[in-house]
Amino acid sequence: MHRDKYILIGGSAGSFRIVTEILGALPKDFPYSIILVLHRLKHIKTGFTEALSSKSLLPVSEPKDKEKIEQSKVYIVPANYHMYIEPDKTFALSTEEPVNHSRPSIDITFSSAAYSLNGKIIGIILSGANKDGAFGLKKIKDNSGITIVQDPEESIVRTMPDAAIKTTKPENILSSQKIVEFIINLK
Amino acid sequence: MSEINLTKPELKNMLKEVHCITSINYSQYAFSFIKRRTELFMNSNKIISDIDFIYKINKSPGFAGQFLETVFVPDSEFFRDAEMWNFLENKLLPKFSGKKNIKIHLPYCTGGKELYSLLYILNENPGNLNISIMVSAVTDVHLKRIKSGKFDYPDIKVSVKNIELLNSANNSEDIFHHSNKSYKVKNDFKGQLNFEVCDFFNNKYFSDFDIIICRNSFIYFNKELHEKAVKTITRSLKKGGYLIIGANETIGDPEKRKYKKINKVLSIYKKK
Repeated sequence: MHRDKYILIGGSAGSFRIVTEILGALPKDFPYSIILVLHRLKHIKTGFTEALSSKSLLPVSEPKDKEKIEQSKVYIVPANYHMYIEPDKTFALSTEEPVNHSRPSIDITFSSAAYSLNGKIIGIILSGANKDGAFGLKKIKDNSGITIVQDPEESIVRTMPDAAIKTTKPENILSSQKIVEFIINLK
Repeated sequence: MSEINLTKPELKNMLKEVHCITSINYSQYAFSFIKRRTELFMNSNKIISDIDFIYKINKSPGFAGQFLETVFVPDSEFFRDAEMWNFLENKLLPKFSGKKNIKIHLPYCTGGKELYSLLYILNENPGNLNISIMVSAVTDVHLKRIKSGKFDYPDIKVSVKNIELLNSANNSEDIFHHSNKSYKVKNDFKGQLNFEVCDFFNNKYFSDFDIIICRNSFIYFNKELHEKAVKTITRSLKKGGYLIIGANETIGDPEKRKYKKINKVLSIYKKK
């Protein structure tokens, strides 16, 4: 039976390098939707997606509200919006108050994905300076998703991985290199 | 974040009850959004289940009003997406120079920051424009708050960077008065300002607007209500009028809607 496949990656300070390494390692027919929830400057509207796109063989875009999620594509949450995943596999944006001082909030995207998506889901938390993502990653684990956290020892800022590990007890705590290997070896 | 995890049927029953009491049909809202807002409300009010919610909304005066307050999302910042405001001031409003009775509509207002951002821009660039503005909100509580025009320091603080990016202001002191712990926008608007309580998208619509500014409202609607809202707004806009929506919102295929997108980056459309 065909199952849709999703990788959700949350990161903040210190996560950009590993995200570019992941995207750079993926073939153009990589059969997952990749959804990036990265804390970023809200006023910088251009350049970020283009920078990621230049490293990736997969198409990278900021989705519009109500856009359908497709496989073999990379989506990055637009600056200054939260982004939910809807049960009909579309994106839904929001300008609600920041969560964990963050908009986008990793918790919002991860939690709604855990509820709405019934395919194979992998949640990954990378380096970052607050605890956003810990709750959402737990939701993914509670819904039988695979959970990965970047090893705090090698994270540029370890607050986010530490919080995710404490809250979720993920199956995998991996170095950035091992995270890349894990993803490219996925079926 | 909330530990309550409502199922679809539970949420549906709760929203049905809210609809009966408030006449506002939240089942037409984006599912994940309304689910989260409802769970937040339940957590903060120590409501343990859907049954508990339904019991309290029927028994406790003011409960439904509190729920509405939690669900509605006020506009997030003054001058959000400053480039849109610069475009409005420098490119769009000059097109109306010399025209009589320019009608602008701000539907679905919840906080007032969009309105007072607009009034500031109109202050700065009057161009002898004869403007009337219709502001509509879903509840009279929202309308009362919008009319007061009072804001707190955090509202100003989150908007500082936007203000720096405006062509017509350098800092928040250019824009706000400060007195008695609240802030008001310096506003010398001489045109008509009309306020209406109405559920713009479901019950009635107005017509003949030259500009409609409806940013980051469509995002809270499900596909059916979104479709209805776009059609309603299109009907209420004059031919040749402009629709301004949020940066990452969409109206679907502009050609099919009889719109032309007039800016590559901004979501500004001209009705054909």
